[in-house]
Amino acid sequence: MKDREFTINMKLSDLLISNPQLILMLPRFGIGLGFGDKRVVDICKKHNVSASLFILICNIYTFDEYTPSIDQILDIDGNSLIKYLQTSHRYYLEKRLDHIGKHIERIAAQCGDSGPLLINFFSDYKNEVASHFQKEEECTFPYISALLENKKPSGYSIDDYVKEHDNIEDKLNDLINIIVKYLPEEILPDERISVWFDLVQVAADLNKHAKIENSILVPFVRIIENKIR
Amino acid sequence: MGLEKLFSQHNNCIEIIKTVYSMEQLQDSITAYKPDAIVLNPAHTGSSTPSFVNNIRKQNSNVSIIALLYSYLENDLLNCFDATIGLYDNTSHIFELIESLEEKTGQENSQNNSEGEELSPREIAIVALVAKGHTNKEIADMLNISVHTVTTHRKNISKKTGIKSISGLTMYAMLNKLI
Repeated sequence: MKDREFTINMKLSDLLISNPQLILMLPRFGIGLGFGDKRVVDICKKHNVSASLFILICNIYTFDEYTPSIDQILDIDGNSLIKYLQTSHRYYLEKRLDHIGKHIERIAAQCGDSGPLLINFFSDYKNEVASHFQKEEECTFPYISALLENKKPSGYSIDDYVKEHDNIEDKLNDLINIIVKYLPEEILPDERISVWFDLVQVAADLNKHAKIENSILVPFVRIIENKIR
Repeated sequence: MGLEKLFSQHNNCIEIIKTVYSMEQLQDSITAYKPDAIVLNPAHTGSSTPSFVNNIRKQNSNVSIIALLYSYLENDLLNCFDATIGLYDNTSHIFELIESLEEKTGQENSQNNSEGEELSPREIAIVALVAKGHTNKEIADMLNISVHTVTTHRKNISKKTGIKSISGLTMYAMLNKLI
């Protein structure tokens, strides 16, 4: 594994050849296109992005078995991590789910009696995701920001977050199955194939997002909680 | 027979396929009907019980073999059965036993070929009830089975359809005209 891991001295274009999905990370870090043949470290510097965080996230998105070491976690800039997670939330809700919603509306319009059910199913899912993100943004992230300023707010800890961190995958997987397996054959096949790719992609993305929260954010916060205590 | 009458009271779950009176008849029936379970009185097979039971398993590896005990049976002989029913066992004990065997068979079947398999009539009935908004407890009462059995069915349904949420199952039921 170690010898395959990405490092900050590699060319960004080489990372994208290894894993084209990583192009989705660039807007979340505010990195534009047209970066030529520059190394990750130089591109990050230009855009004022933590290169170690960027490369850590690229590794998580590319290698399923990748788990960061304690040193790598200690090296993280907490504010950058929170900013990245928040930007990702916006991306899922405002870009991906909005786009998927438009496909779903067109499909539902052809579904007769089941149409409203499909619309409701998707909007329930979207609300579930939104409230999941909202909880993190209103409780967890402000708590972490306070810790980073050496304050220890009472009445909340990262253990509460772990306990409450519910999974938002079930409904999305249900939707993937319904779209392809259970809607009648004749309903908009091209549109369904297209939205299926979108759904599978966002499911994989959310899965890695959860991994970042569970295997980077949580241990990172535990370390600072213990330091301040 | 008392046992037949008792099983028929639990008609949601158990179908008596055939009552046989000789070993030859039994072997023919296993091939013909592929039963889920066989109730056998070891007093009829005596010391040849283990080899007899093994032969049945060779014929049909998925079958549950239940001993009907009239009298004391040595452990060696008891061990070759999946379960036992005693003369003095009460009805609910016997029903629970049958349900636990049903679950075992269900789990084995779903491990063998859960992917791409159609729902069984029982599972279809449960999906329809879930879609109508009934809880597992209500479904258990309606179908006269334990909540645990309903949960097992629900797990198998999700494995087969790929759908876990209640609202997803409702859509599934509607698209398949189950409700």
